[in-house]
Amino acid sequence: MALSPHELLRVLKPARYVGGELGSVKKDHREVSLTFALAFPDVYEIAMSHLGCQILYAVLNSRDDIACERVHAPWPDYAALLEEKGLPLHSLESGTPVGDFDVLGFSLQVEASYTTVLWMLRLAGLPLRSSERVSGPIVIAGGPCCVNPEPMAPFIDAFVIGDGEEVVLELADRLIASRGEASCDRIRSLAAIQGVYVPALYDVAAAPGGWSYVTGAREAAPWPVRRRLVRDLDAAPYPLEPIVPHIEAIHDRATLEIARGCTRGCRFCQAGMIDRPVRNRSVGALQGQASAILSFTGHEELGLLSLSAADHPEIGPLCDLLVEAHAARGIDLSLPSTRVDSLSVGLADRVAQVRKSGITLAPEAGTQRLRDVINKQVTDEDIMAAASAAFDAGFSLIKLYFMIGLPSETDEDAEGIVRIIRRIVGLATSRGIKRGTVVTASLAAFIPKPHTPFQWSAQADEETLERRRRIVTDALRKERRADVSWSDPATAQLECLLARGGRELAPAIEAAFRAGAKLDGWDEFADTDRWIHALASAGVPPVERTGGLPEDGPLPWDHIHAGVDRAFLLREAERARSGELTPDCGGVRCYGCGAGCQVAG
Amino acid sequence: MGAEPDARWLVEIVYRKHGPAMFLGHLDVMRAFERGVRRAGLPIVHTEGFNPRPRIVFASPIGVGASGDAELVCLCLDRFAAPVDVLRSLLPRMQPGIDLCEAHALEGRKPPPYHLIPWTDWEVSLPPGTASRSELTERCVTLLAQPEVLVERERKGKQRQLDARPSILTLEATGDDALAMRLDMGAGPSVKPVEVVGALGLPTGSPTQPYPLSHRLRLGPLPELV
Repeated sequence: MALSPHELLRVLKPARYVGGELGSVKKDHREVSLTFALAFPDVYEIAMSHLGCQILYAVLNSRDDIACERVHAPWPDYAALLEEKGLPLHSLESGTPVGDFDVLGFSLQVEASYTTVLWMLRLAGLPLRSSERVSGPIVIAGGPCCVNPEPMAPFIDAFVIGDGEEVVLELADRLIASRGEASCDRIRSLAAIQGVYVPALYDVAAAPGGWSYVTGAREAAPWPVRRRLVRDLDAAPYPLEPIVPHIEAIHDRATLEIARGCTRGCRFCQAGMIDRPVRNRSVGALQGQASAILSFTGHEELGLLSLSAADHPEIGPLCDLLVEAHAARGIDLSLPSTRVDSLSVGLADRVAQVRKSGITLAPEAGTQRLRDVINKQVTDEDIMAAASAAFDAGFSLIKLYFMIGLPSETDEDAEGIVRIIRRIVGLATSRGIKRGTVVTASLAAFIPKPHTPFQWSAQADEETLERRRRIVTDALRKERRADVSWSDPATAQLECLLARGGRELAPAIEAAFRAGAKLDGWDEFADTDRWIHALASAGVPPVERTGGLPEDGPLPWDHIHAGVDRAFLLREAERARSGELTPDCGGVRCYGCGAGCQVAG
Repeated sequence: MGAEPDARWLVEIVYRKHGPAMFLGHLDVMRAFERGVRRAGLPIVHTEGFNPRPRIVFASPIGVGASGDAELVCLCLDRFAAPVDVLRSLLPRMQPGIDLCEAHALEGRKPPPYHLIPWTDWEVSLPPGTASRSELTERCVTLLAQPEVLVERERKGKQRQLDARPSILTLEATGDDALAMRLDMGAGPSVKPVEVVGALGLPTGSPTQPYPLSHRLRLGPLPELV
């Protein structure tokens, strides 16, 4: 503990900062060759819910010569306490200052965490920019945001693109081997590892409109940088003795990753593009993992994690086996999302043995026309059949996910959302569910993301998002049995801008941070005005940034190959315009997406 | 709240809460025991109702920041399990800082009436440099001489005063920045050690000031039940 208990009690939830949980690993730093601080730019309860960090923690600590420890973003009260005492940010396990580690690896899950990364660097006493750091840890980053690393490129020494567990030990080995060499040389040498992007080795040129693009690689650095991929999940390492958090985490359950990737091809979905092909874990492996994890953690819930759980080829038998093995001990199974069809609802029903709450369906758009544009292959009949099956099975609440501001969307599409909600409410009433809320619908603003067919699309402006949202909420104002929530348009605009920006955004991120931005994902601290000023001071006008991008022009992430070819994305963009569906390849048909699965050869 | 079915077999465990676990709130300690019991596969009775929970009953729980040497918890089991086996199966499955010390069987089918615990013994360590032993002794003597010791307490947004004096059975300085006290659990609303610190005119901690640490040494024995 870096602080005495007397002092630590001054902050909220001091258990966030003390470590020593079941499953945490503490090694003597004098007996290892490499110390690795695994950094998550959000608070404990969120960080501890992130599977990727648990995987990397287990992989790194499986090596006797590596000590991996955690460091999370503090709540501002703890940061203030550290500053008051003149103490730097420290790891949980041994309380070692972050600046004393060999490697500091950030997980970049959301753009809203960018300023928090800078904040953590400052709390650690490290210079923000890679070029200003001559000693101290090598700062790396991984996670989905790294498919467009440019906005954070000046702050990070090396990015890992793709599945981290595939590459992190190679990276560690190279850093162990290069110990004693100059920091900048050690960083450059990382570029030889497939999947690692070292920004210092790439030239950047400014283009009209204030954008900047990566124009070429130096010193034989790869172009493009190809993401790393775990091909065989059964052979991949998985934490069977995960850290059990001291205090309730956001996802307070044992997690089984049943599959990675999705090829349903929703055109807005970045995960469905950069995580191809689909890789399933076998039922045998999953059964063993479930037993091992549950008997270690003692959790009362087992969550099956994947982008589309119902798509696992053996999902039915898997659920039956898991229920049979664990339900008797009061352990509940949960599926994070349910495919919009009655079959999947039946599955959700089967697993909900102990506690039955709501069921989540994601139609995404309100009309067939728009669902065809986004390649969400679901009909109104599918939605009603799923809702009907859910009510029959005893679920009393249906959660619906929609997006607003999708490409080609009109007011008519928003009215379609109203129609769907009304039909489900009517169905509930006719099924004799007389009281209470039966539908909650969330309206998320569409955000065009890199490496998707919609990466060139314009984001709807604030006014349009606001109007479409009002069409839904005004129409349902008197509908007491449906609750509608929505995301803030200004926040969505900022996310779009950060997701699609180039290296020119770095000064804006730094300016926002210096103006006090951190923990931007928290309503308590989000301040879009501060960001607008920061962007203006860095010469980046927000409005121009959320418009459409030319399909024949360069993109800030052209040097990153995240799994899908630009040509495939262009074909999909074209099919979207003509409302043509592209059915799931299912690993048998090939659309030439570029992910390099066995079918493509 | 679910219904509370009777147990067939009760095992009481004495445990320490210290180290990193002292920062756990009571709900976190409860969850730790629930997970431990599940991990160990103990035949625990569950509450009935919509949200069944393992039936684990704590004696006068302590909160975030407090530690304890001999905390009590009763596990309601639905069949016999030797206390030594219960202890042995739970031991490796509790997190560091929740240390199980001993286990014994209890008679009856309902958990003990922990609300009848007569008193609790505490040590309080004040932030270093708060007050010398002699100063503390003086303050204790003055306080104990008073017929009434009013402490402020907020309840449902309203400030109200209560007399803590009857609850303070003993109070003494045991060193620089160190106090010991025995608090009556039966005399009206139970008084917390930190409230006694406040009544002594000493700082009780705030976001800008360090906190005193409360450490519970023991819980007084339950009265013999007729």
